[in-house]
Amino acid sequence: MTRYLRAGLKPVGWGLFLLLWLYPAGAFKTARAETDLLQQIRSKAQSIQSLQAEFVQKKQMRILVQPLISKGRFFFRAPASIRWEYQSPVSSIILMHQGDVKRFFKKDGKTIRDTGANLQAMQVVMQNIVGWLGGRFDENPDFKMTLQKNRILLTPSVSMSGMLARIELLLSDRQGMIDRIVIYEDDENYTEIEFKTMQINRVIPDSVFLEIS
Amino acid sequence: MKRARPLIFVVLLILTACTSLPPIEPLSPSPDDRTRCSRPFVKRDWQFVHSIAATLPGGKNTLITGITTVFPDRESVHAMILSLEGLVLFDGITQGDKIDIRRGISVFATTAFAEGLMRDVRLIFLKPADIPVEIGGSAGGTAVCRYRRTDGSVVDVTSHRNGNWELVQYDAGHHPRRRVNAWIDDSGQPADGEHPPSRIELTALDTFGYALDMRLIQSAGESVR
Repeated sequence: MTRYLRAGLKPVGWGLFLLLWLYPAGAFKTARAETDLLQQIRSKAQSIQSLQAEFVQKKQMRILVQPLISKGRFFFRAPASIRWEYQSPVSSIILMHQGDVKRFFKKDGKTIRDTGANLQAMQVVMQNIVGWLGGRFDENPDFKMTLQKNRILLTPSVSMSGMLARIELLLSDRQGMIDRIVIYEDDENYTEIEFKTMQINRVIPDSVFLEIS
Repeated sequence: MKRARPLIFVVLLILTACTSLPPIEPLSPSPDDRTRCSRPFVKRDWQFVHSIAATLPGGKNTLITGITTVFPDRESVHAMILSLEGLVLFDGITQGDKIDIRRGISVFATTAFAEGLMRDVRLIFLKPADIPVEIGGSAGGTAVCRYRRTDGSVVDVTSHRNGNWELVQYDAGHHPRRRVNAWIDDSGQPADGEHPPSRIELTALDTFGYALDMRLIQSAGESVR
């Protein structure tokens, strides 16, 4: 203590000095650790050539008395083939293969091609999912990415108030994989997609991405 | 061309002329009949979630999710349309004759479409008027209730004994514009607002017609807001 006083610095001042010195060092260390972790995730993700899982989608809204639950199956094959299939409460399939996106639904036992306007939006969403599955979380300039322990947070670069506040990707214990995606419109309105029974690098034939049945 | 003019005039006259409404077999209205008239419509606050297979003008097809919250005392309906992935495509409220569009994306951003949609929602879920002007029916137990609105349009609501119901809306010239059919589910519960129909189909009979096939996913009569 005497030494501090001799140097003309009070203990509080020393504490502040130490904090100022430590903070940037700590920040650099955290940033380095984040970069390393991201690199590990990316490298693991890039080794995933195919993935299939079941999913449960929960839509929670302030207005909804009960959340809306949908269930289905998901198939991915590198570089960019996806089958996103709702099995309940409705039957609907999105197929993305070689840049072509199609959607179908079932009505009274018949398969009908969905030609609605929101298919273009789905194409953008699917392309983002392909990027995430390949570990490219910071690829889309429309989002700012931050890593928080086991989750990746994507916030829109430009405010999309009421439409989209943020997207959270909850990382799996199996590195490179995503357990859950939560898309927040705001804190009370969000869509959560949880993946279950994930299987990686199994052979998935072309027909899964081309045929409805 | 000159010779064709009278013909064009006659065709236009036929197209725009008033037609007559289908006759209703009269019945002396009893309080019981009036109850049957209002049976298809909810009597307290309810929320419905439907999957909607829409056939749009030009033959386009799409599958969407509809969240409808009905407040009969306020004559108000809050309607939301979502993509299957949960993206809100449309959000609107109707109260009395007022329509408030809060959000519309893509085709739902068109004011005419959005207002038409809200009018359809109101037609399906809210009772047309307090008292029907005519009540009729058949010996088989079918009740037909005719409501007349201030804009001159007429709504006929037919309730069948098995709980199914149908509704036809006529414009002021008595041309049918909307047809709604509702079916109860297999459990045999009556479609009386407390047990909502499992399927509702709306057909717009305009020049740019469309159809909505609505299947009930879930409904709730508690904690509605």
